[in-house]
Amino acid sequence: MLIALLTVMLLGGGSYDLSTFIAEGQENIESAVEDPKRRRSALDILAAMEKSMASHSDETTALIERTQKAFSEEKVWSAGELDQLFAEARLLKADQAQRFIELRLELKEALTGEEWAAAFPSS
Amino acid sequence: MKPRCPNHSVHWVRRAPHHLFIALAGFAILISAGCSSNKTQTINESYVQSVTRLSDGLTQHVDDVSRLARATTALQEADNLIREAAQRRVGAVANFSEINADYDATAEQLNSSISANQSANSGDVETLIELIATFQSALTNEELVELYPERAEFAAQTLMLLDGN
Repeated sequence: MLIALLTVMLLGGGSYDLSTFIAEGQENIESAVEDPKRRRSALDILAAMEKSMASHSDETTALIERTQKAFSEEKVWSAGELDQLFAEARLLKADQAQRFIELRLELKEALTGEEWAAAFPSS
Repeated sequence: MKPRCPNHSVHWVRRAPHHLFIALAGFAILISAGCSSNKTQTINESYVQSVTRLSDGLTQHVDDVSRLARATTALQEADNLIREAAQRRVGAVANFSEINADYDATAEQLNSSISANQSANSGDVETLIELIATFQSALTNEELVELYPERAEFAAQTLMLLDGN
């Protein structure tokens, strides 16, 4: 039951489908942005988003693996242990969300409204 | 996003995650592979079955009526919270996607979209911790061990449920 509830905090806490957004941008930036310098900048930001997602995924996996080692058949969790676990999971998601927002705002600054619309047509 | 095999979830369930490792491995796969959009119904059914199995397991392994009632009530309340969280996540993802798509979206709007959902989850944490404590305290160590497969499956199905939007 513990891991299920931990998952509420991990996945239910805001696991947004950012990969689609990033992939769409990477696919369309080439044709959406004529200026090579700004195009490069936008692609770099999208790459940073991708890298950030992968990094946080690794951290999530590490947290899960640590929890796995502690979760034996007989394990009885104390409130303090649970609180710490949930806090760590929430912090992880909050960091991920914050980093994405920072990069997303950088991306906006790198593109015009028209370029944005062309880069993310399905958004 | 990588496409998922149409029978992925069924296959996964048939392998019956009787060890937490499998549940966690599945979680890692879900994180790395993303999710599909056409498996919600199957996952919901599987999730419901896992709750039923855990509930049945309690009935089977816990003889004491009072302790059985406490554990069952904790499970039901946890089930309600998980369903609400899953539902909330669907709405939160749609809301965030809509705001994120807007070129003129501000940092405040983006932050607000995320923090609203996180606040709702944070509000549940104390309740969840109490439910876990109640569930555990209602069972003996022997009963916890006996129910480990059902508990692990319930965990695994919850992961699938929350992943499926």
